Amino acid sequence: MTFLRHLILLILLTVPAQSQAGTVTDRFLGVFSGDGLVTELGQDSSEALRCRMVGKSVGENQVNLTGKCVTPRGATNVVLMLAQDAVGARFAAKVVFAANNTALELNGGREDDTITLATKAPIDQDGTNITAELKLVAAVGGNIEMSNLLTDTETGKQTRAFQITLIRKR
Amino acid sequence: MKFLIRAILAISVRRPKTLLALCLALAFASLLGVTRIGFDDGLRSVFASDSQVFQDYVDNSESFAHSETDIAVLFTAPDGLNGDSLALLQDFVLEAQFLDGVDAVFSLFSLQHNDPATGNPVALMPSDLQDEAAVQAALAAVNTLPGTGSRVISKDHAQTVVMLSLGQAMADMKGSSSTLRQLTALAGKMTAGTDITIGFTGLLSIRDQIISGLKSDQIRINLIGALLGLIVSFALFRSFWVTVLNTAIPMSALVFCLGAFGWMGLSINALSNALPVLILVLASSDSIHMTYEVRRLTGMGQTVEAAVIRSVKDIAGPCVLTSLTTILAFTSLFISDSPVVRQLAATGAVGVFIAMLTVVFLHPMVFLLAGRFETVRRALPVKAAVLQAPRFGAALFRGPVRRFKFVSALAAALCVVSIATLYPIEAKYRILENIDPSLPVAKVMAEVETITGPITSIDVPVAVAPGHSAFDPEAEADLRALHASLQTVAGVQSVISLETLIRQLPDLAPDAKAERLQDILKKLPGRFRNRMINDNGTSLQIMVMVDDQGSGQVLTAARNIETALTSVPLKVLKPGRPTGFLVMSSALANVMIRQLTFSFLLAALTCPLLIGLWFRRADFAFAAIVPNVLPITLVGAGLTWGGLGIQFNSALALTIAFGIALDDSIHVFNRIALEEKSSGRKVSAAQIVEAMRHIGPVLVTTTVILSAGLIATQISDMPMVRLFGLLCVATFLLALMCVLFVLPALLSWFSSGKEAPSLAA
Repeated sequence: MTFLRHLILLILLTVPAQSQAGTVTDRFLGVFSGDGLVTELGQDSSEALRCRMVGKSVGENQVNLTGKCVTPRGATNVVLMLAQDAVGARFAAKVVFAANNTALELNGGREDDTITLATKAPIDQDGTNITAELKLVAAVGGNIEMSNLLTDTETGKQTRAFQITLIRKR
Repeated sequence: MKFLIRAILAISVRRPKTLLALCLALAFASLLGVTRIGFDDGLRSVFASDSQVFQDYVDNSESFAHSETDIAVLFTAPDGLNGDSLALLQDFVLEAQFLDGVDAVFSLFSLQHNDPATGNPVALMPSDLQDEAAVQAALAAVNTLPGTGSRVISKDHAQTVVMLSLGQAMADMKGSSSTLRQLTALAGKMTAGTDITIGFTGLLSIRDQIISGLKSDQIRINLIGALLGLIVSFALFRSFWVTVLNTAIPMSALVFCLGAFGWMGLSINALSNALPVLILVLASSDSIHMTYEVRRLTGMGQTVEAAVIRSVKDIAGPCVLTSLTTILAFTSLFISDSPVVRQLAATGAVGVFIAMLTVVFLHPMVFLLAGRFETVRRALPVKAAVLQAPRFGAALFRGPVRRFKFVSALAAALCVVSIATLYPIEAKYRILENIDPSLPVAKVMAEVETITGPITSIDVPVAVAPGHSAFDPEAEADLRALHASLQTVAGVQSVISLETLIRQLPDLAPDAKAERLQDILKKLPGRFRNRMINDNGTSLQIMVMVDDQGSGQVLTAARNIETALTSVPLKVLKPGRPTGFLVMSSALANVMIRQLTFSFLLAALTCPLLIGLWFRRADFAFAAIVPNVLPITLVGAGLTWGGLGIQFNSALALTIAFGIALDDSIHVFNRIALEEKSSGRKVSAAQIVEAMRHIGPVLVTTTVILSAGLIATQISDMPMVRLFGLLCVATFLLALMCVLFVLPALLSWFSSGKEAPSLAA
């Protein structure tokens, strides 16, 4: 019985300790929804954006945020796959938009609550070479702010493709 | 027949308690079966067939998306659209897309115009909806956009239309109904506390309305039908116990039938909706004939058991025959290509058969068991003189019998005139005929079409020649010519194709134009893109928007479209036959209504033949034709003369009503056969009059109960069900008149001796 009591005590002490330390990707676990704005590449005007996402762990250091984003003109299913290294310093992400079957692969690092990711090389979007930067701000147990900045590599013109604050529901 | 009567006597008369126990067990199983009955609008499946027209429609549906899975949303802001109301609309549009099944959306916010500075397409509506000046400027520009194909806001800017497209899989109504419920709830939640209203319409909404109407109809119509039958029975029998006993039998028949339908996996649809009440009144009719006989015989001093046995021997036979003619009328519907009509044929035949067995086996059992109670035994006997009311005196029938040649000639002449009026049969079908114009879904449809123009289309598939692209300049030139040609066809409100998008592009070099077009298509939701071009780009679709003015006009428009297509010289495009739900349903409705007419002719020929074979009497077979065909042709001629034409349900009603109308004739033949059997010689004119005096009150009673039961259909939400009931009642009343006055005249041709003149003496 003494051994068993020690074992239970050990488990009770260990589990919260791991949770508190957690990984940065754990901040993306849960149910989120929020409003924002989206701007098409090369345009000045933006339109309303609403997303509903669910974050689920798919490994020790990886989380998948899946859901649907809608604008007044249409909708797309979105998957954001986010992975971190063992110490939570380097990050890699892949964003898939089902509507036009496109995927962005990004890499980056973290400063406090902000993860900044960027495409490695310019990508072709509708005949325009662009680079993309994705910024994720996620506090422990809080909301997630996401923004995406696109830069035309030829003209240098920058477009804030989308920005949204996802509010944690659960 | 002798075997059946022996079986009835062996089971119902000798072992009534065993039969009662069996019936209770069957009733329990039937009630479980009732819960398994499915409901289907039948609007789509009614046309499924091997025909080329249906195959064209299926092939086209595999390549292109159609408007039949669209939900049209009517957004009304009584004070006019402004920044605040548009913010609410935008919120609704965003939320609606999160609902299961909503695949694509088209609204004010989808509209684009070319940026004057860059020439690039940009959203027409401002991103800041609180900028009222910009909002109003955009609204003013909405209906001036070139080539949008349809308008999206009303002239007074108080209403706008949003189109929500559901995935093809959602065309099955279970999923679509759930989406419609969620949309309605969402709209209610969002507009609460405002004067804004959001309404829904479209083919899916209509189908959903039909299904909910079918469900509520089943409870209301059967309940009211049974109640009316009960009241009329009580008024006619003037006995509480006789009414209760007589009503218990058809009610049991209905429960057994519905239970059997449930266990057999049969469903109720717009065509078979009135079937349960029809079975109820048919069983009532047979039950009344047997009850009358039991009461008459007990009134003549026989014991209940002797009266029951005699009623089985004399009346069960004709009751079986009346059911067989009705089954034959239903069976004649099997020649239809439509699976839904064939299902009605099976459901109707099975239902009438079960009802027949229920009545002939249960009636003796119920009256024998109830007759053991003194109260019931005292209520049963009625003197024959009371049963034959004074108004059915001999004088009423002497006239037709005395002037039998004149009456027969008049009936035959009326038959010829009504058939001539009816021919050629003018078949009419319209999707909206299935719902009441006063229902919200129909009202919203009318308002939506005022804004957008028709939302129904005739679709033309256009193949691109191998080795060419749909975006080649030659293909574009061909499409432009086709599009322009179709716009000039009479009755065409607008045309939507790839050309609609091309017309919105600025002047660009051919390559740049093709590139821009492909870019726009790529950004469109799949279900909207697939209305103009298929997935692999080998085929285009031109949607010719036309009003659904009925099958005749739709088919004329389709023929005109085909002519217009062949008149255009083309290089790389090859148009196919016009198709789509509107063309398919119109073409097949016409074919099927004609098939139903043939079913009627088949029933009209075979039912008298069956009567002749049953009684082994050629004179009965001949005499049965005119009095039973005449009511149908008179009602049909009335429909043609009134401009209604022959619709689906009217063709069905007339065929089924024919089978039921024959019942009166059969009971007259049976009475005459019994008279001949008792007298041992061929019936005389005087005996025909006597037989009519005897059977007349029963025929009136059963017709009143049949009509009272079917009058319950008038509370249905569906105009077609109401028409079905009305036509059946009209046919029953005319059939009663014909049997009371034309049939005695026709039978007089075959009566013995020259007694007709002696009636006058």
